[in-house]
Amino acid sequence: MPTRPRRSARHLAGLLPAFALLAFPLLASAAHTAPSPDATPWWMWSLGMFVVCFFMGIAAVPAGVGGGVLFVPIVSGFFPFHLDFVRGAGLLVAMASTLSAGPSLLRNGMASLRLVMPLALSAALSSMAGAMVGLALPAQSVQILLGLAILAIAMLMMLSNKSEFPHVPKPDAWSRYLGIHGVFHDTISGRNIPWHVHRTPAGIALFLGIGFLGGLFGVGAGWANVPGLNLMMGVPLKLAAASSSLILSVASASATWYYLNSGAILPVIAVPSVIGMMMGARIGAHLLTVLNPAVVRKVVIAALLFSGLRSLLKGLGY
Amino acid sequence: MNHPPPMPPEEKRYADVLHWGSLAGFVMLVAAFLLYVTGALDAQAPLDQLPQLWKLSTADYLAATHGAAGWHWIASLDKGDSLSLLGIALLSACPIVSIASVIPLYLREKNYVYAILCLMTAVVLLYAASGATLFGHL
Repeated sequence: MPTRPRRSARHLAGLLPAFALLAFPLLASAAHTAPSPDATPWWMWSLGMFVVCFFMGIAAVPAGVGGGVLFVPIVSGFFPFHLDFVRGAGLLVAMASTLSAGPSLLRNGMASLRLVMPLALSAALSSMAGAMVGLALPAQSVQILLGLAILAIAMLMMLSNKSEFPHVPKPDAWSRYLGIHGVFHDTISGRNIPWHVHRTPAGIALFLGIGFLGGLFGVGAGWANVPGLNLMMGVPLKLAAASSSLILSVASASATWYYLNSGAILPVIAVPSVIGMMMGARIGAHLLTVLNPAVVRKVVIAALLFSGLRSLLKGLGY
Repeated sequence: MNHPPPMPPEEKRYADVLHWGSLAGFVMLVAAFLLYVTGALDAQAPLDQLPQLWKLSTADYLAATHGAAGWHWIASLDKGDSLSLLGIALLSACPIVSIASVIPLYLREKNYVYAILCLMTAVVLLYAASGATLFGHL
């Protein structure tokens, strides 16, 4: 009877990155509260960024979130970097992950440019505005808002449902005019599934808000893109997840440029984070068949609650 | 079992341009970073001083390192940290180039709505890249 050991192995494999995800902030916190964090050589912090991002990447894929939403609260809460540099690195991490996934998502017919472009324009505009506001506000205020936003995202992840193939009774006038429809090939069933969308104006407005928050906090927006596309606009779940990635690449690029031009991207923080996250995400994608996504998702929610609370307390001066 | 629908030409071009562009950006980013952290190239902000500098706000960091906002780093590509920023800029430019590359295909299809949408998105990204948005900040 291989079932029970296999199930145990799945749980253990699911818990491994989870433990790492929760343990590393504690280690980082211990290092940060040591007598002099300045005495720690730069390369140890860079190495730490690589390691923590590697585990974030492993956990992010099965949990169905982008790396940015984990990166910013954990790193800003437990590492000694100024929030400006953390947000700059967070946007770069979010953008780099989506850039590397984008081509294969399009080639596999998982994403639609017709769906992406109107929403990407909306999100790119507001993401740049969010970045401008974020760098103009005092860091302490942003830290408090970030804590509240991360706690809200954790709640959203706990409460939101998903629909594999949402029912769209009738496409709206905007989506008909823009031609936002297509045929999605489901590789599991081998079927071609026609899709169209509704509530396009509300979707465009929603992506204005999502883009603004992504740019403001440097967290990317995968956590909100997928529910917005799937539940609000009626996009099939897999198409929503893949198209979200392309939208995020455009929206993050607009804010990343602003952070880059402002001098808010430090290569010693950003580059190890990008490399670690991308390596971890590749392993996370391969481990999808072994990891228990429900367990990983619960631990990611716990990590978000923990780091969101830490951000809030840090912003309040505790 | 259905055959997958044919891939629209604009999606194929977008995917190709994004693939090669992001690959070039990653190679550049990693190579420049290795030159930077191994000390093969000098740095604008010395590595051993970073633990005192990275806790400063962006404005204070730029003041402490005699840096400046905008594209000033492009003038010092002989420094490892500036060269690493070039890799980041290449990656950030990928969506602009990919979007711009599909505009002629939409025009050829007489799909003017999407040609204009792509043009507007590319203009927004170019505006962000130009540094013009920094006016009034820093």
